[in-house]
Amino acid sequence: MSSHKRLITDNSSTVSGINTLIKHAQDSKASVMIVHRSMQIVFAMIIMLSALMMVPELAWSSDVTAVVEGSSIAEGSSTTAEGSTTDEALQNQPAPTMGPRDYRQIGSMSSRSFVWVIAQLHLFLAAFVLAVPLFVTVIEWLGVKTGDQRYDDMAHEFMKVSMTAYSLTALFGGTLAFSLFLLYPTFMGYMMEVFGNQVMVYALLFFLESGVLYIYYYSWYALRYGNKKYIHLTLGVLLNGVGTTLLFVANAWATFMMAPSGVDDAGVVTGGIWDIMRGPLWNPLNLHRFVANIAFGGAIVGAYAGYKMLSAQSMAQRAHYDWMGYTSNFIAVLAFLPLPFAGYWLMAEIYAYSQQMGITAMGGILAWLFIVQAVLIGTILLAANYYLWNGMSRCEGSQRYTWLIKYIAATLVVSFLIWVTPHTLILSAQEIATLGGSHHPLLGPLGIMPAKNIAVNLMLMGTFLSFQLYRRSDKVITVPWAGFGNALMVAIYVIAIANVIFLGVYYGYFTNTVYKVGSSVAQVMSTLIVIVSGVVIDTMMFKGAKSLPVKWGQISNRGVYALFALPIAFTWLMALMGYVRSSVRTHWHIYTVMKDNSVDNFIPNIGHAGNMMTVATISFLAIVLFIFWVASLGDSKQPKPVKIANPAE
Amino acid sequence: MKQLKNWVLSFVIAIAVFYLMDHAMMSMQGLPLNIDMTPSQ
Amino acid sequence: MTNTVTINNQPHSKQDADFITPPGKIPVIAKVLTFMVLIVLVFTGIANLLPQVEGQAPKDVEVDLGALTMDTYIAMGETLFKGKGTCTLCHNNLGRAPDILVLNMEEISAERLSSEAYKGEAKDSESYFLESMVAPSKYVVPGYGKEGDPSPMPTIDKAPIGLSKIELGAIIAFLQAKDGGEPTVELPTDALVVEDSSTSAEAPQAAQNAEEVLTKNGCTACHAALESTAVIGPDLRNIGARSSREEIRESIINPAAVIAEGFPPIMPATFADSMMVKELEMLVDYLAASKGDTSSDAGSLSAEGSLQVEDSLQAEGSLQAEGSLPAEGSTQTQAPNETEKEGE
Repeated sequence: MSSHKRLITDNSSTVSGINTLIKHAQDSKASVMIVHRSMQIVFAMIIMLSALMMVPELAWSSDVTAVVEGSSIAEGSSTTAEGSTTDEALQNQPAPTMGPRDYRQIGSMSSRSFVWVIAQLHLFLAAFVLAVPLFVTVIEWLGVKTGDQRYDDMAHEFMKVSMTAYSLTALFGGTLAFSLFLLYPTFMGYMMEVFGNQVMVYALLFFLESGVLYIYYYSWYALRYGNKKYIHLTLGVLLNGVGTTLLFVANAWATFMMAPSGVDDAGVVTGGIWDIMRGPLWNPLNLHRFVANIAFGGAIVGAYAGYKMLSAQSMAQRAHYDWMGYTSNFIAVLAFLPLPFAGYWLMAEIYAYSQQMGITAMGGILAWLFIVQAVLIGTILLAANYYLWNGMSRCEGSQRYTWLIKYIAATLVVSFLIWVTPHTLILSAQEIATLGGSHHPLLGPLGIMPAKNIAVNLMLMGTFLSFQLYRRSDKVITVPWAGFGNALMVAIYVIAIANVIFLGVYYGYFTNTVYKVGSSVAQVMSTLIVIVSGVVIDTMMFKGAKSLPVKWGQISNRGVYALFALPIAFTWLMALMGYVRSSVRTHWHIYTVMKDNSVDNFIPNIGHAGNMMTVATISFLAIVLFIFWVASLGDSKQPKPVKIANPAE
Repeated sequence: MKQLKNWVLSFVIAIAVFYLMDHAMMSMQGLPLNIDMTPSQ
Repeated sequence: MTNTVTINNQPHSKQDADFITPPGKIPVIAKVLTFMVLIVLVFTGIANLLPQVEGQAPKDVEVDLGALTMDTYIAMGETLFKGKGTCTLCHNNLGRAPDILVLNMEEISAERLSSEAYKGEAKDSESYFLESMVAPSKYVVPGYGKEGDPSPMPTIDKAPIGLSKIELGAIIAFLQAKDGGEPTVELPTDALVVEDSSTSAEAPQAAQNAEEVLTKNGCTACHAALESTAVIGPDLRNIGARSSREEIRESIINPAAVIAEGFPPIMPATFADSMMVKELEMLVDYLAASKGDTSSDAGSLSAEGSLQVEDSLQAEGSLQAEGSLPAEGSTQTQAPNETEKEGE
């Protein structure tokens, strides 16, 4: 390509006729090159897909060995599986008992604190780089569907931001692995014994992820229009397929430590790799992390857009980044709304696996953390709503709905306050005496779960209502059944709210525990019905709707700050919930199988944990700043130096 | 009149949906309800 | 960022211009960062304002049984009930489980035992309390748990709570005594180690050495070892000469995997559960080192041309001196006896 270019440049001074001729030649050659390019990319994809097919092969291979050995023993042949006896012997070892020699330290630094921060940073970055391609592919597809070039540009800009983060993810992942092997050698030895070849599957997937990611990003402009765009979209789907698999494979390690499966009480491996991976908490965690990643990634790119918007020097730039910020916030909130349900499922599975583990989290020593969680989620919901309300100023059509906002705001605040009212908590004897029981006499009934469930569901419905109103603010609905549609939507809200309150109050306070717990599922379903029917009814009603003009960029700067509150709350929340998830194991490395006998085997107090989360969050903030800065470096070009008389200038 | 019909119909649908959903959700968990929503266990 | 050159110069309306940050003021980045850091500090502050409690892992505590009286035993039970046993997590006034501390458990157990709904095997309050702890699904109090499902209560003598027999006894004593009843539990007499506070899994009666493990698990009833010369199972006095560490371990954990020729497949498969990892390792070390010259016509366990190089020692679990460890298993594979095996 470069030599070709030089040719053109060399000839540029010749007669214009020849010049045009050469230019034509270049054009046709270039298009040939591009066809050639897309074939290369397709070829690369095929290679990667076939490599992907090998993955299950590798994962199962240890199972197969086990089966072969099993049958050889059953047949009584003494020498067949000779080569694999080491494997068998390895698989029959109980989990080691941990002693002082199984732990190491770097200087006087607490190993737990070190791994804590490194792991957290790796998870932040990983969540970000796995999430961005998910919604980038969707936005790219939207661009194809609507034919709106802006979507494509935005999708590409999102990708650009996440590219630097990718290599940093790998760097932190490597550091984490090294520090685990260095500081917890015996523990890691046992984990390797249990997971065996599966870790190599993870490594292989990582190669694939890198390959597909780079092709996806760098082929963006090579495969931009027509059918080639579909090749690019397929690449996007492939990228997300690999990324999600990567996430699920790694999740198995965490869930195995919480609820081991495929091993017996002593930690001797009894099942194949699928038995080990498919523990009771694996799928709930997969879903929870998958959804949470999207919300987290959306919030981060939202901050990027918000910053770009505030520092914009032209209204056009400001409008572009306002729209980008709005889209990011949309993604973050939309992914955030179902998150409590995924969390509920995870918690329910934890209770089903071990009642004790569940109570340790929700009612025991970790319970205070859920007060902090309530503050964080409250911050997120209030910020998201505040942003939506402010954003309504972009469109004059929103005046139809502004009267509702004060009621939504009031509901949110009251629900928020109920939610942060402490629940069952460990109290000192003196505290119990002061309160006259383990609950506050007046606030007590508000502190227990039914009241909180009502509050959470009302907050979610309120947020969804804000969101729906916002979406309606720039539209005039024209479908003939608009009257019925609106009536139905109102009825669904009214009955859903009534239902949530009824379920919470009646079953929560006037029947037995089993019904109390059961009714919360129906409450959650009520909210889900509101969200799903809202999306469906709106989609149908917006058909042929008249659009009112939206003035992008016309949002107060104060409103934009919500875009910064969101990611910071998400980041801290992620650190917090990850800590709770990990801490429910109490003094076990692997719950019920391998005891933690290190000096750090206690649950630290909340202040210490909070400080650790802050260290991780601030470090992440610094890394994100670096990532954004690097991304913007590519935009700035040094002007070609002109001969200047005064070099000092 | 049409307005009123819309509202009545909407609320009837919504109440029916949520009533049935409550019953379905509870009995799926092995906690059946009576017709008046009181626990039948 | 303030000196960015605007290329896309659209004429600004006066209203639009209000939105653009005029240069020269505090940079946007500084404002944004300050805002974000302030939010983080608010969260950190809240976390630091809440009550600061640490959850300590259990520590080994020596209990002097000689000085143990029924009163201190009951007190120990109360501590366990509220601490290590984690009973109060559910047995409280929130309705998750019967509020044992408020109810008169002596009267209630009598009522339940005489009720027709009771299907368990307990005869008196002592055995009823024990059964409730070690087999909670035997009888679930009406109104708790779900119809047909096992009890939500964990098995108290298993991980992660893992109370020992003596600790279970202490809790029973406490439950019997708390409403003025007379405890029927006997005071424990052996010297033992009890773990203090919150949760624990290790049974406190960890054997001190391999000989104790052999006796405790009744190995000598069938095998020739220590003083015993029993011939129901293979001789263990020279097992180290015939089998590698891995094979020995395998034969204890999963006896049916390889049955020595000439012996019935009757060895219980329960040792993997009943033996502590520490005990198992001690035993394996001991047996692997037992290469005694006592000739035996017992069949060999060996097989498979063992290529094991691995032998995972739990240094802290082993009481054997390093020197007494066996050589690699491969040197023992050519045992004089036939090395045939049977399937299970």
